[in-house]
Amino acid sequence: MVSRTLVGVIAAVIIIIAIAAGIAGYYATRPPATTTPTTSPSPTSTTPTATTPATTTPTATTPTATTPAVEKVLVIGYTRPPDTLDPQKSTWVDITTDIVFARLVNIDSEGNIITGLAESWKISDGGKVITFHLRKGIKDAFGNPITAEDFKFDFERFIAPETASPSAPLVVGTLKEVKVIDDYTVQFIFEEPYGPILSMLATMPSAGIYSEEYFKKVGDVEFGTKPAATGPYYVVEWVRGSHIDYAVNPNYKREYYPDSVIENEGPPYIKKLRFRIITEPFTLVSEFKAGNVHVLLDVPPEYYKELKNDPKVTMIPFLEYTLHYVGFNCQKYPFNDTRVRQAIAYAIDRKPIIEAALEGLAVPIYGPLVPSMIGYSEKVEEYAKQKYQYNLEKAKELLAEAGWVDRDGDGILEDRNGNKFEFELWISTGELEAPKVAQIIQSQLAKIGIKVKIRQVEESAFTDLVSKGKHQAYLFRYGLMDAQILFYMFHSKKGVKRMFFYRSDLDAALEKMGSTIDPKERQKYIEEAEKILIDGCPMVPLYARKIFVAYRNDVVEGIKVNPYTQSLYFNDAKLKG
Amino acid sequence: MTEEKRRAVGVSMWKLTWRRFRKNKLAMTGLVILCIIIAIAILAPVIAPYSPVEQHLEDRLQPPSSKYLFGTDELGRDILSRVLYGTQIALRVGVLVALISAAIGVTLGLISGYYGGIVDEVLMRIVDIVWSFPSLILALAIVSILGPGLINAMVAIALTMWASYARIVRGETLSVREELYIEAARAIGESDIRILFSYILPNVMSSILVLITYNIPSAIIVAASLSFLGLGAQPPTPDWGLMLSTARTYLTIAPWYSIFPGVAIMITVLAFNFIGDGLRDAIQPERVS
Repeated sequence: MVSRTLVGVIAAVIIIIAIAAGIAGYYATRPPATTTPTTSPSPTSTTPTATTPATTTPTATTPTATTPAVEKVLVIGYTRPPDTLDPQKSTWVDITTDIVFARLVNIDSEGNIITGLAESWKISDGGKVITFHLRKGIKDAFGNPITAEDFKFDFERFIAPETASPSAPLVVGTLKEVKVIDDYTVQFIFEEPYGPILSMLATMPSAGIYSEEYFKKVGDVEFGTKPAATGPYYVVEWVRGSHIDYAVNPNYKREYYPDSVIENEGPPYIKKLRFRIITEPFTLVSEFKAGNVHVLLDVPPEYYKELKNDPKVTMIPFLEYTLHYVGFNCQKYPFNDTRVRQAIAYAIDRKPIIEAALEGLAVPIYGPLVPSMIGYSEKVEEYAKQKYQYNLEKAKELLAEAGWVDRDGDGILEDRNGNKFEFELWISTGELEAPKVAQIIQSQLAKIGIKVKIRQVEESAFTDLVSKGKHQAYLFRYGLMDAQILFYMFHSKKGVKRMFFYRSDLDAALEKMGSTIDPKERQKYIEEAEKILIDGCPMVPLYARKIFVAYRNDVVEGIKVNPYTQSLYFNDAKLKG
Repeated sequence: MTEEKRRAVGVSMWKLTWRRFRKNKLAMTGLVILCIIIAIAILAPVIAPYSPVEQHLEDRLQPPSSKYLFGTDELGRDILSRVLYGTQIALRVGVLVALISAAIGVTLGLISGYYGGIVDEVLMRIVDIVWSFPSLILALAIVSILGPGLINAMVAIALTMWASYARIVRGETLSVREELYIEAARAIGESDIRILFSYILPNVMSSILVLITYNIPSAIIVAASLSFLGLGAQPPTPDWGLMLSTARTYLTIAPWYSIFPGVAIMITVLAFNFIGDGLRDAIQPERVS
């Protein structure tokens, strides 16, 4: 009994201490000049609350006393614990594997497809055959030579059923065979031409090249924890839940990724990288401010102003290629009626969402693609924008037409059978801004008499439940460099199950888009599919975020970002001091 | 005061308990605070300056001021109003969970203690199993099966807390059932149910009452923890745990946002615990050394 009481009291005390520590950390702008801070640079350990002046300078904890990086390691904050570092097997690929694998082709900072491990390539047989001419003298991080046989091995493992790669269908489409013509020529043979093949090969780490010899030496499992390949860095050690350590690939050459903004001809100057895994964004930012983390890959919007005003912080902006949207279950009442879905599209005002939930750091989106995706068209976006201008009157009209009227005067609409218009909007616990966005939408829809109940669902359960159609509506995101994402999201048979919006004309347009390589012709089909999606309204597109990479310019200089692929270039970066 | 003295003076046990309770300063402080909290819960719609869900998007994360006494949250809602309305939720959760778990636990405890034998054996092993889990962990598991939401969270917490009632009530029933008046009741042909609820239950009531006052704050804490983890109350409910969960993101930018709901939880839990301690000492003075 006593223990229960104790638990209660202790819990309360912990909360108070946590809060007090937070305040102390907040106001203790600098450690007292007389005492040298003995070790522990954690922000909660700063104590002098008594001497706090009311003048708040939110630039906070100056880490002048904490010596940055004695052993010259660049520390990058990372929020998402990876499942595996083998990109061909991972459900999630990002910078942690992007810097390990060089690819056949690349996309430069202007969005053009440029050479990579392949010097040149030729598309023939209507897109069913692509012949790549490879560079000579490619070596991986351990000096293993890379020739056509390695390319064959890598891609055949990628598409092999026993690899069960989650990203293979998306990256290489219907690739059926890789033929070695000679040591420096490989031929990719497809069952059907695959429209986005070059941009996929250029951007997906799972299309990265590694040595067959190295892979066979370490085996499947160790390759997933310590991949080493042709990219600028390789993994030395991965301590789950804590960090991933990288060392520079001494055999790396600029020609593997000849973007004009990269100057360094050889391997990067910084010899060691560490990705520290910190899932809590608040902790991550305070570690960054304390100087224990040097690079933030995605500044939380709440901290943007504070970090922008910090002279020690440099920020690089870009627009993410991810669309955040409200998706409907188009098979379920009441969202099986197009007019109802359109009414909600009219009733959502993106401006306050972006201003309040994202601190203005996003652009409103009305169509299915965002400007940083290949295949985006301003014309189509404008069409969608004109069609769905915020208009409450129109929304009410459409709802009345569909039979939704406030029959008992309680402010909530009822259908002809007296059922109230009430629905659950699911949000994922993995999205920091989702509760804010959802609550703003909730109050906006209340204005047209729709009651929204918000339900938070754990992210891994989220996609599972949604794909089973258990939802009415949800708030989520989708993203890919290329318009091929529409095929993935909306094709009735080959796509993932989300909105259950199935139309034969949409399937046809998506299939043609998927199998056309010529960019101009392909664009026609992309826009056709987009129009069907805009008119049919299975979702309400909301916004794309402006992302900021931030780094401490007192520790490092010269980090670059490719705005198209959103890859970080460490090639020219140097540690200071 | 001894048993003899009590009989001699001729006052009822409850009156005597109240007399002892009144002398306990800490317990009285708890009681006064609790009365204030209950008043706040009832009067929240009257005294709250704003609606707890009304958004003022232009006034986001404002520090405390004359317009917003406790400041505003990330959607410009008045934190004072939300904390005041949160009282209703915290009390409802605490009291309902304690009552549900008491109902389950007391019934099973009475049956177990009265009948004994195989029934007792089976029930007590179940109690051991439930008892061996930390209540938050067990509640987490149950909520993930039921799905998130305040009601489900309350059911889950009740299902983790009944075991302590069952165990205590069983122990007391074991001794009470040997008393002569129970034998007498049996002799005059009273039904088992009547014996359990009219003869035994009143005799174990005081322990149950103490347990309930201890249970309410634990329930509030566990419910707040579940909400903190996104499994309890869903936005925009003005739940203290949920507020804390959101507020931690803004700890450096808007410290007031965490302070007020945190302090509210602390005060409420402490008030109940003071009362619980006072009540225990007053009812079972022999346990006070």
